[in-house]
Amino acid sequence: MSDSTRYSGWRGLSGSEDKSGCVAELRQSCEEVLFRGIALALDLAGVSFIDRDGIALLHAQQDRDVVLRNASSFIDDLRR
Amino acid sequence: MKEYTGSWFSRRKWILVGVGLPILVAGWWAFRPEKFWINQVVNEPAPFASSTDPQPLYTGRLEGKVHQTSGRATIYQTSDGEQYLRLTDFTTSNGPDVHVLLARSDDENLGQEIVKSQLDSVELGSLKGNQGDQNYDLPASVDLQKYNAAIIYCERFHAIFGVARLERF
Repeated sequence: MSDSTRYSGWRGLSGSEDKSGCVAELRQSCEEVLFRGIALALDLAGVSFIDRDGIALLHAQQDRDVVLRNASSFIDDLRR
Repeated sequence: MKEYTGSWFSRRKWILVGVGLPILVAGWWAFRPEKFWINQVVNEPAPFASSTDPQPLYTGRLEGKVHQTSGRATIYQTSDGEQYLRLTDFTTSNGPDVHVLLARSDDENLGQEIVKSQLDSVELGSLKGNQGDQNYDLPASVDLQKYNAAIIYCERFHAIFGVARLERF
C-alpha cells in the first residue's frame, strides 16, 4: 500500500514565506500514515520554499524511507 | 534614355544597400530578435556535496518586471568564507547583454521596469542562460546588508527583467 500526499497548494514549508506552520502539520500527517505501516511518498511540486525546520523534517522522513517527489532545485540543494 | 534610367536605379539601389544594411545590422545587434525564440538553458550543479556545507545565508523569490521571470535566488557561504549566488528553478526571457547584479532593495529604481537614474549595484557577471540552475561568485568585499536584492538586468536597454528581494534564511 502507498499513500501519496500532495502539498502543492502550499508555497513553502514554514519560514518567512509562509506563516501557516505547515511543517508541524506535515510532521503530524506523516506520523499518522507511518504509524499505520503505510509506505509514504510526498509530492513536493509547487513547494518553492523550505526553511531549516522543513529541511530537518524532510531529512527525518527520508531516514524512514519516505519517498520525496518533484522537489524544486532549491529544496534538492538543501536536502542533500 | 533607358541607359540613364538603369543607371539611376542602379545608383539608388547601391545607396539603399549602403545605408540600409548598416541600419539592419545595428538594429539586429541592439535588439537581437532571434533571442526572443531561442532559449539558452544551463544546468549547473550546486558547487557543494552536502547540505551541511555551504550554508544558505539569504534567499528570495524572483518576480518579473519587463519580462516574466521566476525562480529563486539564494546566497550561500562556504566554510572558508567564499560566497556565491545560486539561481534555481530559474526562467526569464532571453535578451541582449543581460547581467546578474546585486542592488539595494530600497533603491527606487527597483520599483520600475526601466532604470532612469544611477543604479547602485554590484556586477556578478553576464547571465549564463535564461533558463536553469546557475551559480555566480560574489566579490569578497560585497556588503550583503546593503546589497540585499538580486536583479536580472539588461544593460543595453536599462531594463529590469526580474528582482528577488533577499531575506535572511
